[in-house]
Amino acid sequence: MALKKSHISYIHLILLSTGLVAVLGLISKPKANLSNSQIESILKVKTDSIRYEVWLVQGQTNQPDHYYGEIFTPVCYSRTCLPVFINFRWDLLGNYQKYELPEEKVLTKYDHLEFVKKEYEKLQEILFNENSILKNYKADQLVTSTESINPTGVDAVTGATIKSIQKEIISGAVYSCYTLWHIAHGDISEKLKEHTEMHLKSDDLLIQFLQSPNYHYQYWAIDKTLIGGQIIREKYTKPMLSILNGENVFAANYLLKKLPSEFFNDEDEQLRFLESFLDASYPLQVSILKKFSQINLIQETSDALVLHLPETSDEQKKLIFGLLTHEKKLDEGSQKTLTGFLLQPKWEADAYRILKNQNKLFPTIKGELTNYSEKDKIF
Amino acid sequence: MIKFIFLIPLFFLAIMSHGQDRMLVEAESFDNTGGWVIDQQSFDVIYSSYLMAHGMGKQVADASTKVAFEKNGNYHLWVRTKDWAPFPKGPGKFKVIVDGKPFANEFGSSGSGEWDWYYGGQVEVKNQNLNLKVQDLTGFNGRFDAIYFSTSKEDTPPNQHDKLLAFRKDLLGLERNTITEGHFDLVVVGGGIAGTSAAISASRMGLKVALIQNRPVLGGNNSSEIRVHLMGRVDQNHFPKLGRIVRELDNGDPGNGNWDGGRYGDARKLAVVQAEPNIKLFMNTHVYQVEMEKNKIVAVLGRDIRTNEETRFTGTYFSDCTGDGTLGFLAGADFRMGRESQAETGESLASENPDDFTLGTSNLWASLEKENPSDFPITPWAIQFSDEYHIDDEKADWQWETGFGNFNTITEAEKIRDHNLRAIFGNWSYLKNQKKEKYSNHELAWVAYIGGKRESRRLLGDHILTQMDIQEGIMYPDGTVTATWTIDLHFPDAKNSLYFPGEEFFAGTEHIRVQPYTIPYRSLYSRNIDNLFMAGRNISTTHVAFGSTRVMRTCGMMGEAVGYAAYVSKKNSCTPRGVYENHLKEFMALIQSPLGNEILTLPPKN
Repeated sequence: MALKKSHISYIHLILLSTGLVAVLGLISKPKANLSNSQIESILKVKTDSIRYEVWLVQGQTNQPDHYYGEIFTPVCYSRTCLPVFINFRWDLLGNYQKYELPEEKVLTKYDHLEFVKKEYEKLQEILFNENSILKNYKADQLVTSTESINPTGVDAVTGATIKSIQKEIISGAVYSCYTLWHIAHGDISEKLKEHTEMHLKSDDLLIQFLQSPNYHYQYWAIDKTLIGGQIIREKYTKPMLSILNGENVFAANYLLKKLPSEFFNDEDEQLRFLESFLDASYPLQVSILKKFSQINLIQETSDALVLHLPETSDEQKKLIFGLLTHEKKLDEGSQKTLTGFLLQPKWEADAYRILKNQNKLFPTIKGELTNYSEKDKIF
Repeated sequence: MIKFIFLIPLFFLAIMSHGQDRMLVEAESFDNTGGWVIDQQSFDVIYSSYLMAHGMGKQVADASTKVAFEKNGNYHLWVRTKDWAPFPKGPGKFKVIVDGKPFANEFGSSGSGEWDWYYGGQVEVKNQNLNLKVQDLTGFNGRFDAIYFSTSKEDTPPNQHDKLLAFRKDLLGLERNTITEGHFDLVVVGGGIAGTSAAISASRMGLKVALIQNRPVLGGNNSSEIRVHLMGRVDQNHFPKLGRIVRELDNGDPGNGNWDGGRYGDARKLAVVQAEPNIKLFMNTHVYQVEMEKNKIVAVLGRDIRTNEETRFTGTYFSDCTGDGTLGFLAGADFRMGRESQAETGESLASENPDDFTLGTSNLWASLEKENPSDFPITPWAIQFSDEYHIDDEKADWQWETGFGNFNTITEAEKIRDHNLRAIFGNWSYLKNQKKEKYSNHELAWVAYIGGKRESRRLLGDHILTQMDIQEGIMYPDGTVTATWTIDLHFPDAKNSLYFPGEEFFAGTEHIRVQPYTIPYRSLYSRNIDNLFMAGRNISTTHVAFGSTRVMRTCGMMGEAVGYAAYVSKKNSCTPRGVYENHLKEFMALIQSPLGNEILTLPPKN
């Protein structure tokens, strides 16, 4: 932990806090809306400089919802520390979600001015960024000089904040940002995830995760329910496949890569997959078309793809025409759609090849194909 | 120049009147381009500029023109356009309206990303002219290159770029109407910081200079069109008097992608150039052909990116300040593009194997917070973002970058720019629609449609600057320009790569610090074209060394040095190489103190 320099005890900090205007009030309590019936203490964190307790908070249906911690930490630099009271919420996989301040508590900068609204908002952004550059720094690397000339606060130092982190901190509160980020994304994250894995994992929770808009949950649940190319229980199938129609194209692509092709040889699954294709965003549509090339297409799928051709890009047309190479039973509507492509120089050869390959050509189509052949377009 | 102004109406007449039953109307030559912008960035690929509706999602004003025909009749109409974002269908829709009647079909959204002729329908020409109007429908970068009329429906124009060039030349009468400018001591191609500095430097040494720039503003990457700030120091020079011209052009540091384009000082740069009596400035002129005599460039041919007038420039010396190394390439100069291998250069930072990797191109952008909330459309054709991955920022900085060997900086410049636009608009759409609490009152204030390129060809000189030259601080006898920037080689940001493999648009870097070092003069002229200098990012370096030399104050000082070298060349009637071999002392004396030169005459104030 980057706060090793500080060996000020908890009690010292309490005493210190009472003498300073930077932080007002006493140790916070859980918020009023967290009644005892909804929370359960699961963890106590204790280091040489910080102690706090973490609770599991349950939702209205008594399902685990998130973790909640009331933090009291010194923010230290050199020989000076100030106490900060703040409450954090993590999701069930230990990902920081948001902070709140206990009643009557505020956050201040080195000049003792309270954060303005934008700074409170910026702190949330800073803490929410799990990939913050702050991850790579030690506390003594944050400013270009190490000694304070201004005894009024820990964020008052002679040197400027180093340029590379300026966008990741609040001016005048560099150590607060740094300390709080490292608590939010420190060892606690892994501990909370472990707690969920060990004590909370259940069918209901996994289904809840698969259906959640939280992408951390989606990936975790996919990995827990799709093992060795098999969905381990039937009940996971529907919520899992709903990810393909969800808003997160990245999770959808991840799932698509993990799902074995054979899964979609089942007629019902293939039709469901087809619906996903028609609703999907472009990059996902391309991934699905590539997946189609690994499975046996049923005729309904082929017909639907042909009907969709006018809505596609050149890249997709190439993929779809490729998929239809061995298709011999296209319906009349599909054949009619393909004849439209006989007039397009870029696609006429593909359309002609597929039409010629049909077991049965409908009478109107036959005529059009004959007319086309008579124009000396022989392939 | 007055005589050429006189020729312009004749020229347009030529464009509009050739042939009895066909007519080619170039988009960029419309009488009124309305809110459409002229884009010449793909000239080296498609041999033409085109018009683009860059409205940042807001419909732009119509472009319109009158077309005069020799004969009345029924004409078929084709539009040369493309779908710039075929994912699956792009947003660049527009309509063509002839004499107030719109064609039924919309253009620009076909799902095909290739330039092609699209048939529109038939029009009747009654009074030997008609009014042509092109109406943008979305403000999202619809574009068209030309409109063609023919009385025969079978007469689709050629689409292959080189065949179409011949077709354009014929129908527009380009060769018959070429303007010949006088002879110049130095022809500088490229009006970025390097080229502008080269022209000023040579001009102040008394040379007659042509400065040819293919945009309506000077400054290149530092212009208001691209908005990259000037980097590299001018206060640590081994030769402190180099850098004075760069300081004159420097309008202060507004950072990268500042919403206020005025802060980049287009007017200042223009004023400094216009104050030089020995510079003849040719804006909006893209050089795309050269005439050679053995290993010497005799002349270059440029085309006006709006009027399509062609101008021929002859010169004793030429300087390639194009960034892309276009002039050198056309002349057959030796060049490299991409990375050398460690085995070849011995550089520790070189790639293990040679490849096509280059640094990327940036299209910067900025938003502003307004009093009232605003909407931005959903952009399914753009790059898709989610809660999991998006870039939570109200403006761009240098990291917004596409290229990295995925796309060729020169031949795929349009694709790179468009990829950048898809990243910008897709991300902005996500922020505006999914993060309303933060962005509802923000509006896009500016999005660059001109790409700011970092790396293209590197023309090879008698010396190829290496990492060792830099890190060992080798002071060659011809060491001139002092460079101070780190070895700053961008690569795709790791997280961006994870989400968009092969299609990255966000960069990372690692700065390898260097002590101030000098760039030898031998890196500033071609090793096989006898009268070709170069200044800017296309000088003779390895890929690794380029990582340090490429910043604009340093490039500007290269231009200054080239101006002095051109003066010494002319005075002694020698080649650029001859300056190094036989007149180095004289040249280095100028580098030491150009004002100490007895021949120098200061230009009048205005």
